[in-house]
Order: sequence, then C-alpha cells, then structure tokens
Amino acid sequence: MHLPDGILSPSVWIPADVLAAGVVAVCAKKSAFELTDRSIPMMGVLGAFVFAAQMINFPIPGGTSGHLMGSMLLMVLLGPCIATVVMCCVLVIQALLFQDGGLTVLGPNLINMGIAGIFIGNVMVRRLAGSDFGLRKQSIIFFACWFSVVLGAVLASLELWLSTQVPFFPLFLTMAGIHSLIGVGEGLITLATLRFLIAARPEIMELTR
Amino acid sequence: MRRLVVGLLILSLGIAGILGLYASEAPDGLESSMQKHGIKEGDALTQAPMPDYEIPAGLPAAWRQAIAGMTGTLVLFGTLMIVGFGMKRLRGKRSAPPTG
Repeated sequence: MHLPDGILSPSVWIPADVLAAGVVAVCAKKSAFELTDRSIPMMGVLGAFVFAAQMINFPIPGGTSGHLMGSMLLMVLLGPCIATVVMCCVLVIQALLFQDGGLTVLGPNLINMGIAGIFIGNVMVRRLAGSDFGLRKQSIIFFACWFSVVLGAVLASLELWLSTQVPFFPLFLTMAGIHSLIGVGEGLITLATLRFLIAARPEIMELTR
Repeated sequence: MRRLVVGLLILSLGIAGILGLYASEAPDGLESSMQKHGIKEGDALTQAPMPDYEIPAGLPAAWRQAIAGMTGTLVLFGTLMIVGFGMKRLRGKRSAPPTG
C-alpha cells in the first residue's frame, strides 16, 4: 500500500508529513525511556522481520496481491511508540533503497500503514483484551489487524481523492474491498507469528512493559 | 533472548532470500485500485540503488532478488540497532523521564 511520489498533491502530503513527523518525534522521545539493552535487539530483528515479510506478496482473488503490513505485530510486542518508530525506519529504508513508496509521501504512508492503525489498535488490544494470550485477546488482535489494513486503505483513498479528481465512492469501494481480503491475511500472519514467538519465549510480551 | 534474536534474524533472511522468490507478481491492492480508476503513477524524485527489490547486476533474477532482499533485511536490523541505542544514549543525557 505504498504511495509513490508525484500522485498526492502538496496540499495533502505537506500537512501529512508535518503531522507524521510530530508523532514520530513524540514517539521517539517516549521510546527512549521504554527501550532496554534487551529489547533493542528484539526491536531491530522485528523490524527486519517486518521488512522481509512485506516482500512476500500473497495472491488474492481478482488478479491482485497483498502483503503483511506488520504494524499490529510490532504494536502488540513493542507498544505503540516503539512500533511507530520501527515502521518509520522500515518505510524510510524502503523508499531510499528500493523505490518502494515515495520520499515526499513518507508522512502519508506512515499515517496509513503505521500511526492510524497502531494507535487505534492499541486502544482495542490494551483496553478490550485481557492480559493473557487467550482466545479473547487473539480475536481482538485479529480484528485490530484487519481493521488496520482497511483503515489504511480508506485513508489512502481519501488522500488520493483529495489529490486527484477521481470520484471518491468507487475508489473507496475498490480499495476497501480488496484490503478487507488482505486484512484477513494480515490477521492470520500476525497471529501465527505471535503464537510462534510466545511459544518460543513466553516472556516476550513483557518486553516493553 | 539472544538465541531468539539470532533465530529471528536468520528466519527473516530466509524469508527475504528464499520465500521472496515465490511472492506473487500481481500488482498490490493500491496499484490495482489506481489502475482501475485511472490514477497514473508519478515520477520518482530519486533513483534508488535497488528499485523493485533487485540489485542491478548481471546475475540470474533469483540471485538479484535474494541479494537485494537480504541486504535490506540486514540494513533494517543495523539501522534499528543504531536508532535504538542512539535514542537510549540521548535519554541518558537528560534527567527525569517525561510524565504522561
């Protein structure tokens, strides 16, 4: 869901860049107090994992494909602030080294694929789910994953609609339709990864809190 | 925890290097939606060294992709280690944690 350069109009990407930069600055400051010598390598390797997993496009019906976003995986394991910093680094490396996502639209991309889902997902997972990794918590995480992808798609359609003269509703329907399928993949991959990690190291959930 | 970090890094390199070769070539959800609604892709501002996750070298396609993917995975790990320890170091120079 990486927007390239040259599509969004400056009146959309400049405010989004400013907003995203502010959120990243606050998150970086908070992250600095949450990180420990034990959790920094874990943050590094989870970011590397999300980068690698984002390369794996899985086919979905209708001749298109989707891949993991990973923001909810990071949010559950590392908390919303560190997750935002990691997603920011992933997007910067993708834009700079791989031409995946534009440089001017780093802000919009980070809002769509990181910030929006992370902070709403945080409320869902922290407030609604219990502390143990049971069926209830797993269901809520699955829904939060699905929601983060669909929300990102809706925000991307809004940004595209504000920038181009394309009618909003048909674009919204296409984007939300495709991404409600991709969101199921997001939920399944995130839960499988979390179950694997928790089986390997039950204390992993306590990493940052 | 160190074993898990090393294990996850190897797993990530495997995903980027091997599983990446089996990834779907179909356009992603955003690309196909933009095509369907006639939104044209803009021009990139800069030329990235490994566009489309391939290194520009005279190697078989599988190698070009695997090397690019594994390079990116290692760059991400290294960047986050620097960012992580850098943020922690900057914190050490201030006194009290922020409230709220």
